[in-house]
Order: sequence, then structure tokens, then C-alpha cells
Amino acid sequence: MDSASQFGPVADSYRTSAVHADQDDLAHLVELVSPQGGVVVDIATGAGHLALAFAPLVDKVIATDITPEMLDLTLRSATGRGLTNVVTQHAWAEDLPFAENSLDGVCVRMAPHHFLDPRQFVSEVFRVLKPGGWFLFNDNIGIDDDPLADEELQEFERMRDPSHVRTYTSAVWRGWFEQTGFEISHEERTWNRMEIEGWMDRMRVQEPARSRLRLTVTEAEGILRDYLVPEGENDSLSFVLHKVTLVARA
Amino acid sequence: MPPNFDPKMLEILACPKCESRPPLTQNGDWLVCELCQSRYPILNGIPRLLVEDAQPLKESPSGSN
Repeated sequence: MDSASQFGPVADSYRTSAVHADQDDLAHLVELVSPQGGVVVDIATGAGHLALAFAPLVDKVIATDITPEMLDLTLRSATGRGLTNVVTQHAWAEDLPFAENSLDGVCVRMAPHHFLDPRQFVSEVFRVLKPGGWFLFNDNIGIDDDPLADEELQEFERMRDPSHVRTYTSAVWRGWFEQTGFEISHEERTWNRMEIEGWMDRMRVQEPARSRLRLTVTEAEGILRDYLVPEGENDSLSFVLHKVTLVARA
Repeated sequence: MPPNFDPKMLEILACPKCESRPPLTQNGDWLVCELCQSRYPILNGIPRLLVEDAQPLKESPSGSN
């Protein structure tokens, strides 16, 4: 299933999601680059949280996505906040419809695990950025050094969201950045604790997948358990998803 | 002209179908790539610049190109 089909019907749940709307996290990400003007593109903007967080500091934010409902939501949210410098644009992350050396900054948050060709995505970001332009990257990451546990994690994610492609490790992302020509200036690893019921509700997961997802968390062993760090039980069951943030310059 | 499409966007938009990412021009409710002879619809002020939405200029039913 493609991301547009998957996310269209559930767009509004991403507007209110505590993880996605976390204002402290958004403020921290914006502070990492602290832009002063310029044209910025937020790729796969989803409900537009990061695009709207950058808007007060830049001349224009172009929020891109392939899901029309997400773009509508982003524009409505911008209008509701009185932000007049946010525009939306249908675009694939791997085929950015922007001219070479045309942008001052590019950002992406919690989305690249849906991209079909992440190397091409990194290459495209490099192409559209002006020399010295900034790239703020944030996404969930996979499990280092244990392919079997990592594949279990990917299956866990796909069971909940069929449009999930893969979470790569931070080392893989760093490699792609450096091979493309980016200079990485900052890296940090953090995590989000997810309440499993809300996490499944957001994607409207039905039985028997709900039971299987709960079981994956409660019965996880070894390295997968070390990654998921399960806590609680029944309705309060939760687990952890790890993520990396990279700041780089073209 | 669609009310919400900012013509200044044409300074940075490019054809996603062409390797060289050439600039686009506006023709009514469409953005046009002269290089590959394709056009992309502007829907509610938002250009759909997806490769799969490119339409050949020659088959334009409206004759607006």
C-alpha cells in the first residue's frame, strides 16, 4: 500500500498525535538550525508540524507531501495560526520538483522510513540546496548489527502500517549523506515512548493485527527487547522507537 | 489564474520528469514543461508535480496549451 492511500483517511489523527505535535521537540529541531529567512522545504510534511514551526523564522516554507489530505490539513493549520508564508506542494521525496541550487534549507521529520529510494532522496535534497544550504533530518532508526532483530522490527512496523518501507540505522544514513557530499555538523539519538493503543489507533489497525502487535512487544526477546523497552501491560502497554537527528550542510 | 497559486513559485519549481529539472511556465490551470512537452494540473492552487500526473501537451483536451 502506498503512503497516500494509507495516510489520507487518517490525516487528522496526525494533527493531534502527541508525538508528532510535541512542541518541545519541534522547538528543539528548529533551534538546531536557527534559520534567518530564506526558502525552506519540509518534505513529507504530514500534518505540517515542522513546516509550521519553521514558518515564523523564514521567508517561505513549502510543505510537500503526496497525500492531498495532509496538504489540506497543513494549509488549514497555517491559516488558523495566521501564517501566510506557508504554501503546499504535491511532490515525491525522490523526485523533488525544484530547481538546482534553489533552496536555503530542507527539513524532514518522522517520514523517510516511507521512502522507496532513500539514497535518491538524499541526492535530491543535495541537488536542490544552495551551496552551504542546511538539511535537518529526523527519522526513526533500525537496529544496528543484528539483521534478524532488525527484520523483526521492520515486520512489527509493517504489520501496523503497510506503507512502512524500512527504518535504516544512523550509520547507513550518515554514509549516504557523506557519499552525496553533505558535511554533517550535528548528530543526536533520542527516542519516543509510544502508547501502543494510540499508536495502533492512529493507523486504524484492526484485529487480529492488534493482538499480534501487542504480543510482539510483550514477548520480545534479546536485542529486539532491548530496543523496544516494553513497559506496562494491557491498555497501558508501551514501547520505545529510537530516532536520529542529523544536521548537515550542502 | 488560480487564486492561491503564487507565480513567484515558478522561480524555483522544476519539472520532476526531466533529468535536468527545467523550469515550468504557467498556462491557466496548468504548469507546462516545454522540454518534455508535459503539463501538470494546478488543483485548488496547488500544482500536482508528480511524475505520474504529467500529461502530454499534444493530447490536451481543452486546447489551453
